[in-house]
Amino acid sequence: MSNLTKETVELFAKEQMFEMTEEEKQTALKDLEAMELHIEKINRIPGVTTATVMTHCLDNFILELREDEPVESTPIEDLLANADEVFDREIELPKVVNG
Amino acid sequence: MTYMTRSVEELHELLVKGEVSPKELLDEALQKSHEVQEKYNAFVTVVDGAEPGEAGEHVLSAIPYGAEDVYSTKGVLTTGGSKALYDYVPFFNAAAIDRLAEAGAVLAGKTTMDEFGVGDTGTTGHNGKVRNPWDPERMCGGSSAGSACAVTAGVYPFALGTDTGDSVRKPAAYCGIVGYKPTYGMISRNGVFAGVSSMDHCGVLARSVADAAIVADTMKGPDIDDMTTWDTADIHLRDALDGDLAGKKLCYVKELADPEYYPAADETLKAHLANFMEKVEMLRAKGIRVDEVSVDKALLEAVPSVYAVIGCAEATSNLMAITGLIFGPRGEGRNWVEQFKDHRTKGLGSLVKRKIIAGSYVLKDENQERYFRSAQRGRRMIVDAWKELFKAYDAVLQPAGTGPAKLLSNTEETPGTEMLEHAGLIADFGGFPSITIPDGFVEGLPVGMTITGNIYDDETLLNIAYGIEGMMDYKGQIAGEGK
Repeated sequence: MSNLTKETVELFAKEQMFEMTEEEKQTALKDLEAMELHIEKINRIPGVTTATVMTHCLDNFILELREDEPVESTPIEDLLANADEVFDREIELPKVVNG
Repeated sequence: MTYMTRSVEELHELLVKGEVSPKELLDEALQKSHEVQEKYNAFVTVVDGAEPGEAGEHVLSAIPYGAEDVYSTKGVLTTGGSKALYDYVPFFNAAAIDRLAEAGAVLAGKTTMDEFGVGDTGTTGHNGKVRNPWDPERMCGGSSAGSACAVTAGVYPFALGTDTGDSVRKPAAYCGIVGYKPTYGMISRNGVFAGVSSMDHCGVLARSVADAAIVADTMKGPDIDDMTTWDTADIHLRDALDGDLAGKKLCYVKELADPEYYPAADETLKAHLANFMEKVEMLRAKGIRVDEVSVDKALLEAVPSVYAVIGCAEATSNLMAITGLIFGPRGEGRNWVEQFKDHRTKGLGSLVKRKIIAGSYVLKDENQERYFRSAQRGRRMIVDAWKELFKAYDAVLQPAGTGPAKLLSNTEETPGTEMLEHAGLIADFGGFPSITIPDGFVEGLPVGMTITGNIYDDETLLNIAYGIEGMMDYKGQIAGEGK
């Protein structure tokens, strides 16, 4: 019914930066195939195709931006505490260009 | 003497009278935590070095509590239930944790959860499955499994959870306690790992409606660091509890309560539905109006599908932050791509990876309209149907899930019962305040009733729950002790 294959899963896994076992790939493929069933169920709702999409729980929500005032910063030492690799007072990241 | 099985207000009174000290409370909570961990695996971390605090004016002062391991806690390991963050120690508290700390409450444990809240079984976290104290062969539900386990086991009177897909209320039902999810944005989510941002709620697990109200009162309110919060100054949940249901109009949805809609129902489900209807009749016998209403079955059947699409999509976006480069254990590799990939390959669990694959698929440019936008339209239709109900009724009652806690050896859902199993999601779709309270036993295991109200009307909702709770005999239940 669809063009979904194990290779489809592998492509998404590659884009999402992880590897999967063969068993995980097969289960994920079934999940993708199940999306068609999900959409069939959603499309059975009378009038759904003309409904407005809902992206936020509260329709009358008014976003109030905070005042643009400086606040106390987190000490750098605290921020570095979880970094595996640190150079001086900076997080050392792997080389990105020509890495 | 056992203290941790008592309510928050009872403990506060004992503290004020000097009949118990903060240290005695904390020592008991920590000792019980270790006992419960041994039996049921409720904790990622027991905070053995916690300070007992001081008994003050605030009713939560010196009261020990636990928090799902998705709440950032300064200086205390916070893993989100994931191997990807197994050594992450935040440098700040979640806003909810800060507010409890300001009131004097004492963080005594971080509880086991499904990995990043993905899952509803309490079995997918990096430290293993949580067992249900009512029957260790059964699950606590998820994602807030450890919090529900700790509260029903009498470790402390309340614990924090998160509710994105019924994930405070279902564990509460499975454990015979109260689970409350306030209106979306009432409690700041700053410092709580994001899952499905348009549906994520902070919530409370407790053994009474009053305790849940006290805790939510303490945590609620606007937060400059969470733009979805709103002004709650006029909401006083505990003060509003008087249990007076006179004039209140309640309803239940026929399609979620009548066994005729579940031809494959087993005896357990039939007993659960019969128990629910007994409680409806109990309310009617006391003069409370409870109408039967009907909702298009197509809407109800679409609820799990809407969640499957939106949930995967939003979680995929949020989980892209898990790289291992800035925090968490850095992966191995010659360059950042290999390190990034190694971290996610080894750190993320199978279920999370599957959800990410599904989310990537529905978010793909050519698929967005067909899947993601369709689900968002479906969500709108479902929420609008409930809003129509709230024009006529103060609250909607429904059976919590399809019955008591499921066996850990068989987590599969019974085919044909999905619309009931997942009806709790509707409150997450619409941001509606919703609470599950214990309403009886089926086959010797606790079951619950979920009560949902209109947005911003948490006072009315909790008062209805408080009134119904007072008509039954299931308040303050401790697993193994009954009530």
